[in-house]
Amino acid sequence: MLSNLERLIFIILAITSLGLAWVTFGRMFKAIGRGSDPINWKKVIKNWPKGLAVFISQKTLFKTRPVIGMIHAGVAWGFTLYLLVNVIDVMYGMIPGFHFFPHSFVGNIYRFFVDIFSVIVLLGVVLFVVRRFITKDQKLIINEPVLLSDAAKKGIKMDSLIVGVFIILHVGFRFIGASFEVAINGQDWSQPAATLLSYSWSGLSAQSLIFGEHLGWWMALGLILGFMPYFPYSKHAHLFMGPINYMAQIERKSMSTLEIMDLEDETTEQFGAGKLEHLPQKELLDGYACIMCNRCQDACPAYQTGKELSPSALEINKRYYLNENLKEFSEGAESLDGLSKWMLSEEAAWSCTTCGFCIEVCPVGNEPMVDILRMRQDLVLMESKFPREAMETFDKIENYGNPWGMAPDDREKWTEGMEVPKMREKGSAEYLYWAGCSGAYDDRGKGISRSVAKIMNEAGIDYAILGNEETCTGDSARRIGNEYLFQMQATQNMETFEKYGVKKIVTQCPHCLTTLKNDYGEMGAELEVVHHSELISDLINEGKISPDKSLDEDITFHDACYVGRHHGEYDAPRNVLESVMGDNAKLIEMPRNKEQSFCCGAGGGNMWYDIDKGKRINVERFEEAIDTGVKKVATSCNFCMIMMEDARKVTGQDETMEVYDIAELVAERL
Amino acid sequence: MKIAVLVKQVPGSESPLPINSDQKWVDESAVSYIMNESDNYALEEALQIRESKGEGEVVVVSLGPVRIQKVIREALAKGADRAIHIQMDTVSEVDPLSTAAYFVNALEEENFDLIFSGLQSDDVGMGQTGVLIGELMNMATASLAIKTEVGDGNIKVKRELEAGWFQWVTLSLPASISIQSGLNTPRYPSLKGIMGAKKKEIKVVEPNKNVAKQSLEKVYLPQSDKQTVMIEGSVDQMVEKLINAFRNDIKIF
Amino acid sequence: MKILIILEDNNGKIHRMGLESIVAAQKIAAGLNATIGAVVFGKNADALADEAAHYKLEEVVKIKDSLLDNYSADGYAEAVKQVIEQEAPSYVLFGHSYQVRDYAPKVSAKLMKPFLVDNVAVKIANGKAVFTKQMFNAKLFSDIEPNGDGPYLISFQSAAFSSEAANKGSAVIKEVSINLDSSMIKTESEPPFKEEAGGLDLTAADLIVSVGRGIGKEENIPIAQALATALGAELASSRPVVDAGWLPAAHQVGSSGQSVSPKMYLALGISGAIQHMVGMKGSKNIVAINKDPEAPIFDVADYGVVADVLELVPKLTEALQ
Repeated sequence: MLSNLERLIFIILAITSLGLAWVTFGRMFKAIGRGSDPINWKKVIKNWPKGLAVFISQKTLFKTRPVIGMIHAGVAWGFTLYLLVNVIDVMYGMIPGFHFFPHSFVGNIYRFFVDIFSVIVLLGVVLFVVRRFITKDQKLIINEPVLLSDAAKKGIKMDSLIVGVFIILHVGFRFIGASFEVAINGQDWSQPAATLLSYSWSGLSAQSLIFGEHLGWWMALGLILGFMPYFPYSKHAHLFMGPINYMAQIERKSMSTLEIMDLEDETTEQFGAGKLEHLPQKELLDGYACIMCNRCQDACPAYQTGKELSPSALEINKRYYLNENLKEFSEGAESLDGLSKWMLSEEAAWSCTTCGFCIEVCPVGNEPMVDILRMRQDLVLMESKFPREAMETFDKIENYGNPWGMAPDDREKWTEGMEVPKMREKGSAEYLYWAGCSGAYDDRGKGISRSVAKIMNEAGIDYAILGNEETCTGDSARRIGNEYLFQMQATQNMETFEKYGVKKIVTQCPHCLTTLKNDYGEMGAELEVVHHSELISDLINEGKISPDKSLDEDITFHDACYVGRHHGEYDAPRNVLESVMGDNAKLIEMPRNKEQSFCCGAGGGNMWYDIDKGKRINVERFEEAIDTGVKKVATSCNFCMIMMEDARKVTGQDETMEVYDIAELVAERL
Repeated sequence: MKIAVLVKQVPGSESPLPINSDQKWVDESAVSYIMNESDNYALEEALQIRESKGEGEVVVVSLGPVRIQKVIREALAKGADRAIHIQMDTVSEVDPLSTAAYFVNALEEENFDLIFSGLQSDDVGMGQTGVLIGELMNMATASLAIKTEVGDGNIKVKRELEAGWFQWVTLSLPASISIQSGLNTPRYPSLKGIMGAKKKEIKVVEPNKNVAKQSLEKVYLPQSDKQTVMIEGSVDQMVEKLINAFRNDIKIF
Repeated sequence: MKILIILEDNNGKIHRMGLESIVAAQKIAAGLNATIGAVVFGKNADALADEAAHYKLEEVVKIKDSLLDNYSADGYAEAVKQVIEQEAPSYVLFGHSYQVRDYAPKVSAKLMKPFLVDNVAVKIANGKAVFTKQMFNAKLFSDIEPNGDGPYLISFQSAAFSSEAANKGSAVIKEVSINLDSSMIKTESEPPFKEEAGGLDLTAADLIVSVGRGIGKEENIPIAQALATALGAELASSRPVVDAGWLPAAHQVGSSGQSVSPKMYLALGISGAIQHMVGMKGSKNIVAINKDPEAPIFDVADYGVVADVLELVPKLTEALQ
């Protein structure tokens, strides 16, 4: 279609664009390659079905913001189609006489979809631009007091504008060109929209029409050539970096179970992440996949209650640091010393409750929580900089075997007045019941342990407890970043497990659950660990216990992060609740439930120290329970119990509402 | 500047304390041991002085059986340069004069500018060792230090007096100072510190036993077991009984 | 056998612990058949001697030396050492004050005689005095005996004896001299001063009144504050009170607040949940007022009152004023 001169110009521009893109893309991948822990690219490529599935289905966008997700799906599918369109258009322009299936069914179908999707993409992107710049959707804004670099603040607006304008012009001009083509060749009802537009050109001369068609072609493809080298600096790179991120996903035993460090290795100079290049390559890739949609921020309990933490800002700061320093960083320059100076403030790092909601909702598979855990490791192990109360907690765990600092030989007190077999007397048992530190020392926790023991006694389970031989799993130590203390605790407990030949463990504490199952698993222990909700649910299904269905009031259930998102169990506790509920009682779900449950605020070490900013996370969650109208709240975690009970008092509901563990509800009905 | 920090390993406040059958001591195998609290502050003070001066050596010195190596390593991990372990069994050792003599023997040739010790130990609690050592080595001494300022050839110490009073005392060097808890924020050892501690020198010395001038006849539980006294009656009666308890039992006025 | 008591100066009057030492001396003297003398020195020596002369003592030994006008550890230690050598007592008694802790060990080192400190009781057994001391943070008691020849230096804990039980009488005042030289004093002291109470440091507080949700509402906080003021105590709280915004976070006691160990912790309307308990269980005396008889705080309290805080506390405050 093009003249010889046009073809020549196009070839020159194309070569220039591709050359520049080669450089910028090269820098991008070299920058990612600066990270620690190399990505196995062969494996990533083999994983292409995963990436393709995520790309085509767009399903990760519907978890939250389904309407926006639907519009984006339209844009994304349209844009995918346009990949083909651009190739065909280049051929049409460069190859004389080339037409794509001009009068055939295949060609008509193709043109029809291109036509429809052109309109969909245009409308969609115009809507998005309006949303960002005119109606100024609050969710796209990152509030004070979150640390956000100046480059990011300017860049987010600039980049969004560039991308928005680029797509509108690219698709717009392509569409206009198509309408001119229709005007030249006559109406084509396989391109209804283009045909409608073509009527606007009815008064123009043939020359003008041809000019219009060429203009459309040049604008559409010219913009592509212009945009290509810019991709690595734009969030639009998510087009391909998002799916690649999915293909590069790390298989972890659980979201918060990081690799075990060899602390004895004298050659290792750095533990955790203090600089950008200390982060694994996958986490640098996260920065490039990030679409800056802020879904993670919406989910984050810390951000939602006014803390300095926004997982979104973390990734955006990362991306803009890379943008600003791409050439030097890709060539090996050291990055700024101290992630807390530019990526995430120290207070923000400590505000994280490791609830995993950010990872759950991210449409491109980012893991900001993991960055935070690595930053904490550096702050604790290398810098010795962490909240004073965390230090006291470390001392208590180290000296007394529990973060409460209670007497180690009081660990069995909860069994007083009950028949609870001890491992040291029994020698061995099918199940080890692990009460954990809260289950041994907290008043309510002791009640939960007694309830579980009662249930197991009734069902005739072969179990025993370690009693005073139990010592803290080290969960809090690990999540705060003290790998050394965690490994000390783990080694001690694993020795005890060896001694008694422990293979199966049941515990009511989800933090103990994940640590024993996943983190000890990473250290080589082979343990089958179940949550008490799973065991009790099984016992009920097998008919081994039959609690009275005497709970006659509506009840709501608060999913614990470490049973739900970290462990994947949502049904067992609900099944347990159903087993005690009478016909008049209903389980009313809170708006944020199951995979989207909102954290109680105690995780990630926050049980032991206070980030005194904004609203209390537990109060935020409890208000959600109050809003359901129920008077009873069920939990399945010691920490959630403590948090909900505290919140119950603070919100003035001490006379009107009650909090129960699922085990308590069952045990009192046996 | 050479600073010695005397450190003791003592049972933690939540540790079990089962009394031996001979009633002369507790069963050490059942005890959870930690570094004595005020010694931790003394160590931190010494480390901060070394850091602010930009030079100097902090040597941790401790007396006790093999198990005390744990707190010695802890002190080294926090930043002490080397250690001296006066190795001996300390069951029923309560005489501070005797203890001080062991320390003097180990410290004599080192010529320390400063000797820091915690105000008192959380096990025996005699609270004299630092001052005794100072006097035996003819040094200036001060106790209950809640602030220190090292000068040229001297050290200024803010002493805590009773009832909210304080006093600054200037001591010529060398000096032995016992440190009160709370004057600084003790650091937590970094991983590098913990790993590095394994390589630092611990010189083990075995002293000749001397004759103690006071001895422990027996340890026993206080007669009054902790029973909650429930105060009952009308509100006015409760008020009266409470004030009685404040005055006569708890003795707050 | 002679017992010598070193009396401490409290602004021209005998420090209460000195009078308590007289009572201790009386007990030992009765059991071992000994005489009791008292020693005074310092810039108020005359006034102290006159006051001491009204007690049932063998004699009052007065030292006057200008180098003792202001406290110095070396000066006081040397003076006491010399007077012990002159008077040759078997037992030398002190009150376990901050001042005694500072200089008396030096006397022990100068004489190479044992100093048994902070005793809460003394008993006579087989013609010897055996002293009782608290150990392991007052969890256990120990009986300690001095070995070898005397003199033995002994200090008693504040309020181990009641100063009111000191027998009155009349004693002869004897002035003695000592050899003190400024080269013996290795320190320079500035005058003592009192400090303005700065911020809220609960960890240093001797008395704490702590308030929990049982206080009801923010408007009732002054009721607790009034009690605290009447007792000369600091005001603390449990976490829910801070969360509700009734008091600033600096008042919070608990696992994510401050850890305190005052002489008395008065808990008003606090249930005793574990995350609060771990912050205050080190208190020497816990007094709990709560209307719920099942509240866990009663498990750790030394004194428990089942009552409505709003009813009891104002009356308690009034009675204290």
